[in-house]
This record gives sequence, structure tokens and C-alpha cells, in this order.
Amino acid sequence: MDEGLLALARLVVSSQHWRWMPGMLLVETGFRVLDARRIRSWEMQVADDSVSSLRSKDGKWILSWYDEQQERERQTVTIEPLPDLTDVATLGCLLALVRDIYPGAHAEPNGPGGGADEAERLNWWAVYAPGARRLGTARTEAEALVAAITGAAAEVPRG
Amino acid sequence: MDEALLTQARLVVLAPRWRWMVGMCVRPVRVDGTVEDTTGVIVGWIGEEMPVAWWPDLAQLRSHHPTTHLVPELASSATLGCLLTLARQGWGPSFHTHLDDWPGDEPAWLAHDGHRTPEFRGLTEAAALVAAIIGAPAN
Repeated sequence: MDEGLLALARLVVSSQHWRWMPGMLLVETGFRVLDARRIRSWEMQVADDSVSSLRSKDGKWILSWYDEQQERERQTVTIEPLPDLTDVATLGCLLALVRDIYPGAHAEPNGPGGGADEAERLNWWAVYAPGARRLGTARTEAEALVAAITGAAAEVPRG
Repeated sequence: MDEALLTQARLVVLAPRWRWMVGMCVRPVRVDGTVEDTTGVIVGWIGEEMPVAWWPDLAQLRSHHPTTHLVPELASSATLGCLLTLARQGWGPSFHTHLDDWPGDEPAWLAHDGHRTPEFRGLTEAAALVAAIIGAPAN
């Protein structure tokens, strides 16, 4: 993910509406969140192809795993747990977070002109609550979802 | 996942456009065809055809080949994100869903590309997406 998306990821995890959900991908690790029942503010279970855990200790998040395939010793690194906003499963979870706040909300491309030019339509995304109330708008679907969750909506130029 | 969603899950895996994706939540299917009440997450692949899922209740990673003993968990938001991607692969990047709750009408979920041609309808978002994936043009 580029710096812009990393900043967005930091913004959304700082939201009061944020929660980790099974299937979400952690940025730059390849690890996914597994079991929502085990997710707490200080620990969650994640995996790629090894058994792993992510814990908060002294303000840092520690990722630990044992790679069975390569029979390596238990490894530990410090990471910043952020959602990968390029991952489609994670985006599905972001839409669910929007719906936690605004039931029935959806995201759609809504570029200026609003018409036949597909590329132009895909230049802007909007998140709407039922009744066509616009919640968040941005250049990408991920940004629009984050805007809806954080309330940091930007206005869209309408064609 | 209720019976209606389970029916949709059994249908969508038969679609030509269907593929298993990392991040999907899945349920195991027993030999007798019933579905177990536990959920896993696809976390990787062995080769190109064998998804690997982590099963929290079992605390185990398992590879799955054939995949006939898996169904997607359509109550999972991560899985729905993957279904939307499959639908977009068939119908284009503008494809999306929205709730049609027009006063006086039975609420329904619609899936379309903004021009509503074609438009797929379901009582749930999952059902609308499953219909769109099944109805998508072949690769």
C-alpha cells in the first residue's frame, strides 16, 4: 500500500467505530485476522500459513509465529497492525463497519457526469445511506468507505 | 448462516465464474452433505487448486482438495467482499449492490452496474451477488 492508503488505514483504526473482523488482511504481513471471539484490544489471532498471535505490550504490537513448514523457531517482530485497504475481503469488512453505523448503506461509483463514461464514473466513489443520504465521497472505494466510517467526508464536484 | 444462505452458498460454487479466494470465510461440508457449525478462513494456497484454511475451533490449518467439502460462509462480510469482486470480474468495476427500500415495497437488495442492465435482485445482499455471479458472462 502507498503512503496515502497507510495514512487512511491509520485513520480508520483510530475511529471509535473500528473493530477487527475475521478475514481482514494485515498490511505488509500476509497475516489475516481469524477468530473474532479472540479479538481483544490486546490480542488477536492471525495466520498466514503458520499459527500466530498478535499482542499489545508496552504500547507495541508483537507478532509471534512458528513456521511449521520450515521448522523455524518461534519468531517475533514488532508491527503496526493496520488493515490492507487494497484487499477485497478487507473492503467487504469496511463496508460492514459502515453498516454498523448506517444500516443498509452501500458504495457506488459516482463520478462527475454520472453517465456513460465508465472511467469517469470510477474516478469518484460515494457511500450512501438508505434514502440517498451521502455519507462519504472520495477518489477510490476504500477512501469513500473510510470517510463514511470516520465522518471525514470530502465533497465531490458534481458534473 | 441460515438455510436460505446455505442454499445460495451451494449454488454459487457451481458457477463458472466461481473461485475460492484468500480471506473468504468457509464452512465444512460433511460426507452426508450437511454443513458443520464452525467457520474457517482461507489463508493461503498449496499450488493453484488447494486452498488452506485455518479452523479456530480446531486450532488447525487444513488444506482442502477437492473443495467439494467446503461452502463459502455468506454471512461473513469478508466473503461478501470477495463475492463482489467475482461479480465485478463478470460485470465490470462499477458493479455494486444497494438496498431497495422504497416505501410500500418489500425491501430487497439489488446488484447492478449503475445502469441496471442487467439487474439482479435478492432478499439478501448475498443472494443478489450470487445471482449476479451465476448470471455473469463466461470468462
